[in-house]
Amino acid sequence: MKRRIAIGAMIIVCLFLDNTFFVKLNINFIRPDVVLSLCICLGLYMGALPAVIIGIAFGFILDVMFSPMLGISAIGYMLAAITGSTFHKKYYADNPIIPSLASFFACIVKHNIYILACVIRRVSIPYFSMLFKYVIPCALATAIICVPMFYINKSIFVEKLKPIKLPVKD
Amino acid sequence: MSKLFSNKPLLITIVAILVLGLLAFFTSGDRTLSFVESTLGSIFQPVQQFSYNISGEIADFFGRIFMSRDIDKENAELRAQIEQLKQKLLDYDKTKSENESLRKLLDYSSTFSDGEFVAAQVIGKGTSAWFDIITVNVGRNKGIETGMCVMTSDGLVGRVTNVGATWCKVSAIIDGSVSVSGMNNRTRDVGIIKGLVEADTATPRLGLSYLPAGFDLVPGDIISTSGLGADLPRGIPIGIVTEVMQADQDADKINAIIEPYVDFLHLEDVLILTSPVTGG
Repeated sequence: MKRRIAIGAMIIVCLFLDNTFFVKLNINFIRPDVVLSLCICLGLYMGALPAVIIGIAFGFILDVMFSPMLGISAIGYMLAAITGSTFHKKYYADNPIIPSLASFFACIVKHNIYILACVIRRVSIPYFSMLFKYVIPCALATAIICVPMFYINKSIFVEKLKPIKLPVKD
Repeated sequence: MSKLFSNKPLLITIVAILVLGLLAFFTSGDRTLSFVESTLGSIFQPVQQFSYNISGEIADFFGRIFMSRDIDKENAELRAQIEQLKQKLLDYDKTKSENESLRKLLDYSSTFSDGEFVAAQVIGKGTSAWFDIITVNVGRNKGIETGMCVMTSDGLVGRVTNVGATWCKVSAIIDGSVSVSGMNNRTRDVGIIKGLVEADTATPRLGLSYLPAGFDLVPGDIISTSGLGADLPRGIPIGIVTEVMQADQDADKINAIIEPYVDFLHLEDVLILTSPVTGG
């Protein structure tokens, strides 16, 4: 129960940060994708199915309110959740570098999906300029924000080992 | 190929991407939102509005801290601007009286005095640089429909593209997919204005294209809506020309860069034109 409340609180905070806080506080629109880093971490700790469901739900909510096309963000967050879930229950994934790198590449994939949507809508995009001046800095910011997100999720999902007192033999 | 069909998770992922991609494709145009979308938006709208206002206060707080050093310099610049504007105001009064007499002579009705407006508050903006979508807190409950013009006292903001029960989405003119017919107030040349997708500019810019060959355009020219296409009334200010490209370029290349009058980075309140104006 506590875990579910913690996950729900994290989801609400990440939605708030992504939709309002970082919309106003950014450097030339370069901002971390907090929701994406959360999807990566949830995939890492919860596995594919729950994380994908949460990712698609995130995507639909954001698309309904802020996107011209319904489903475009859902694809991006679904792929992020799947990426995170590939490291689920892997011993080497107990390391912030793994989800951080996964966030970096998932963010680039998500922005490329948006670029594809813009091309379909006949928008002229200077691809390489946007890639090096916007997409990659956003991906780096997302990778950085994934580190504290990883530790927060770890504190929720990984139970701390309790010391066992062994009986003293006389 | 058989390995693809035997890998269930991969197959499910591919099917999900195809389904979501088709959904995105078919929902990309202007439309009235479905009941589910409208209800979802209406549920999130009050929370979104509250959190948007709170984050504005927090962003302003940090902005005041970092900008305190520039205040004195800005103060001096503003005083100089005030003096210039006072002189321009005197010239404006004289021009206005001449204009009024000419209008009476031509039997020309004044602009926008017969239009009906609905005031709305911005409760959210797009979360990326790819789409410039603004969410406002009025919808079908206030008679809003798709295609309606959205503006502020500074100028044109955009058009309503999706309408819910109590909220709607506005595609801003700085969005790369929105085209507006614009006219140079000085020469009356008409062209097409589209938003520019750029990474290294702090303020959004517009591109003006499809001007007639040999066009006469200089930095400082004012661009407003032309009224062609019957979607936006004539005479709404759009922006000011900041850069002019070569006049002999191809017709589909950008002829000029325009800085919009509306401050899209700090947009708080807008007006939605709900009934067409007869003048302009």
